[in-house]
Amino acid sequence: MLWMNHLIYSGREFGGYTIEKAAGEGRYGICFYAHSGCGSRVIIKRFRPSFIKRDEERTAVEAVLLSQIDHHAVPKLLGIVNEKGFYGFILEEKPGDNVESMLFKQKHQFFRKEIFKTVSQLIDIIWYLHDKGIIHGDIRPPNVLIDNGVVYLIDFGLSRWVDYNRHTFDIDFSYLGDFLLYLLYSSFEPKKCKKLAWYNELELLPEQKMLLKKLLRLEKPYENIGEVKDDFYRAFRC
Amino acid sequence: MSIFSHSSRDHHSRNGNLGSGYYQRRGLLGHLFDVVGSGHHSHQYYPPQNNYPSQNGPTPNQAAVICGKCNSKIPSGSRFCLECGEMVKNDLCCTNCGEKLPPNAKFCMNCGNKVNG
Repeated sequence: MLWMNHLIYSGREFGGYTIEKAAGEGRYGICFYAHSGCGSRVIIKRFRPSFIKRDEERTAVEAVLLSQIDHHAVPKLLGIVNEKGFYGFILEEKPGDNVESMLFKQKHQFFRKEIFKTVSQLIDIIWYLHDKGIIHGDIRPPNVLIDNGVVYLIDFGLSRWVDYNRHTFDIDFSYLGDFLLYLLYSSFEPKKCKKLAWYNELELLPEQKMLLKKLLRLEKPYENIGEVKDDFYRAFRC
Repeated sequence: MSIFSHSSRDHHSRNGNLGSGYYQRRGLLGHLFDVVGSGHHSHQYYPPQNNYPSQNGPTPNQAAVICGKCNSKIPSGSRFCLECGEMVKNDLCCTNCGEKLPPNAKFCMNCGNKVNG
C-alpha cells in the first residue's frame, strides 16, 4: 500500500507543503516526507478517514500531548492540515536512521559504549515525558532514531496521560527493557540451537541482569524512571 | 518514521523470557513473531502497578476552547484547532497587571480586570 500512496500523493500540496514520498505506514494511516516552498522539511502524518471516525479521541489526545512536549529529541507538532479529504499532522522531521533499520538492514552491532550512550539518552527523554505525566507507550526500535549518536523518539500514536487505573509508566519500562535486549543481541552470536531465554543466553553482569529483569517485571519492578537511570548507570557505565 | 509500525497493538508489557530467536529475527517472519510474541503476559511475575500519583493532563473534552476561525471546539492543551489547523494563541496577558491568562478568559484571575475581545 505504501507504493500506492506514493503514487497518489507524491507531488501534491497540502497545508503549504509538497509531498515527496511515503515514509512509513501503520494502523493510523501513512507518513510522508514533505517540504515547504522555502525548503523546510517536515513529516506529514496522514490519518486514514476510517481511523479518525473510529477513534476521534485518539487523534485529539495525540495532538494535545504533542502540543505539551517541548524537547529537542521529540518531533514538534507544527500544524494540522485538513483539506481535500486529507487530514493529518505536520510534524518536525528528525534526522537519522531508526534502530530497527540499523539492526536488521544495516546489521549494525551495538557494543557496550554505544549501548550506554543510546539508552542513557533514551532514559532522559522518558524522564522528561514521565515528568509531564506522559507515557509514550511504544518505545520500540522503529520508533527510536539515531543520528551521529544523538537519539530521537518518534511516533506518539499510542501515547497517553498516566492515570491510576489503566495507563501507568510500567509500559515504558518494559518496552525499554525490550529495546535494550535488541541492542544487546545485535552483537550476540548464538552458540546453541536450543531456544533459551535472554538471561540464560547473554553474558551479562549480575547488575545488568537484575536491571533487565526489573524492567521486564521478572523481579520487583521499578517505580519511577529515576530508579531506572540509577541502576542503568551502575550496570552499563563503561 | 517506522516502516512497519505495529502501533495498533496496545499491549502493556513485553514477554520477559524471549531469546535470540526473537531479538535477532529478520524480515517478514520476524515481524510476524513481533505480533505474535510480544503480547504475552503470562511469564511476568509481577502484576502491573497502579500506585502512581495522578498526573493527568488535559483531556480532549476538558475545558475546550472555541476556535476563532471555524468555531470548532479545540481540546484544552492543543496548540492547533483540530478542524481547521488554526494556531491557538496561548500568550494572552492581562493588560492591567501582566498576569498570563488562560484561553477564553473573561476576567483576569489576579486583578479581576475585564479581558477585551
